[in-house]
Amino acid sequence: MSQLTLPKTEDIGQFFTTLYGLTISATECDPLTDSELYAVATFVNGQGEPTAAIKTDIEGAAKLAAALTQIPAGGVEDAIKEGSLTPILQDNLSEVFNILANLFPGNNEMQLTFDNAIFGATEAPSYETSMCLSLDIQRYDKGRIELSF
Amino acid sequence: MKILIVDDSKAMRMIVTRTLGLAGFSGYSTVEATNGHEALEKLQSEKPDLVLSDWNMPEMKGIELLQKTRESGNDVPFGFITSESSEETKKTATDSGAQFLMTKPFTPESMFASLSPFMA
Repeated sequence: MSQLTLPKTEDIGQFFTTLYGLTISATECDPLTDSELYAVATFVNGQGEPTAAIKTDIEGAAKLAAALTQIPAGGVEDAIKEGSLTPILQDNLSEVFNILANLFPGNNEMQLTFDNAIFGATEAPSYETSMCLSLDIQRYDKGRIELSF
Repeated sequence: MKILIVDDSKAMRMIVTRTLGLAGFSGYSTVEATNGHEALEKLQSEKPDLVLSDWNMPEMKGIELLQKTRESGNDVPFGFITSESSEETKKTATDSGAQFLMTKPFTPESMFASLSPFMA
């Protein structure tokens, strides 16, 4: 049976470092609660079946979105204060989610594709395996993401 | 040397442009398109020397753009920069006439390795 595997914490940090060209470290942290949830990305397998999700809090969402195109930290603070992302930050975060499909190593059949992003989410799909990470992003500070499948 | 960057994500077009510089290339200019239809127009009007295209885009996917480019008799070097990383995708790209496929995320080093043969 085809299986996804959970990436190692240090590999995730390296993945983000490669993506952003910034130093980004990842450390395991407590799972996100529903009240902390802001954005949810869903992923499908080769058969189009919902297979995995990534959740973020507003800090993680704003910082990951802004850092992608090096939007100044002021824009991040505004988003966190407002509790929502601007359309530009939403577009950036969607692109990040699209690329994060490659965080879930699998064979061809289980190669995941980004399906959809929900901003201002109040719930997320529940899967058997999950891993919450605090990402420390150079110049942007910390935010959390949670991978599950 | 003119490079056509095709991606519906403005962020990714910016990142590709930035990484071209970080990879150490010089003496080139870039033009952009946000989907396959726009890219086909730019292929006619701008006559790029290299195309770097996303795979999944609205209106016309990158693979369809490549196929239409080749059908028109244009053999411009064409590479994909995509989050699609399956072997099936790579085979489809190569069989359709792509010179290379770079998987996101990429580094200046991996971009240099992929593009060097085409950066005269």
